[in-house]
Amino acid sequence: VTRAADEGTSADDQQEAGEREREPDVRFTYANERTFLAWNRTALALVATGVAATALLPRFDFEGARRLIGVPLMLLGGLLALSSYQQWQRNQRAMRRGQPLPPSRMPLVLAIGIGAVALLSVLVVIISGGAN
Amino acid sequence: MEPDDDPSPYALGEGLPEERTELAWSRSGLALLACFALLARRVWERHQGTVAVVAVLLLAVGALAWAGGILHARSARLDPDRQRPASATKLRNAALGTAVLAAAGLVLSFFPAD
Repeated sequence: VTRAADEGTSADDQQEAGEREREPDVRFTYANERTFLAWNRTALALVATGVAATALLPRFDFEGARRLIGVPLMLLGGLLALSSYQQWQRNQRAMRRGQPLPPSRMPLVLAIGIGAVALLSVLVVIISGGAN
Repeated sequence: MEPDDDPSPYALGEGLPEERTELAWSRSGLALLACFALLARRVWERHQGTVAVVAVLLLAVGALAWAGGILHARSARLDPDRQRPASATKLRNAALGTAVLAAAGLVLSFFPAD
């Protein structure tokens, strides 16, 4: 007997779906859980990198340069952590109803975020006259 | 799909999904630890007063938010006859825990030590 997450569904949803909802195969629930965890590790890595950028990099020529690199990384990490739960909830709901898994915007957000920070880092290095 | 009708080698009751899931929680715990250690070191070396207190509180909340899920995965693995995925609450807490660590990092960046 699976005791997966009942909280993924609101009362309205349950009324609407009625009998059609049933717990998915527990292996799918576990797979969804692991996907959630993988996103959270990514988020933690982003936060750690952001902290390292603000604390461990040598100073650049202008004020706030390290923060310019580190803060977006931390924000991206926080955003992805919260989205990962939302996505887990959506996946769980879809599986319960036998619907296709909903599309996720998180990979795009991650790719754009990392690309943007990389670009920003290059600019910071160029503006500050090269990394010494 | 009823588990009994499923001829796949990943049959239920062998504990493999539980094992993979517990390992995923363990890896996440290690990532949490690394992130936590970086933040803690930063507080320890550079901060004092209100900012330090706030940061330490955020770190404690962030780590504790993860504890429930990690402990649950461990007990679920040791009890392979009962499939017990983590509850929505435990996952939500873990996600919030990660976000709180991010908040701690932001606090430390915007209120640097004198």
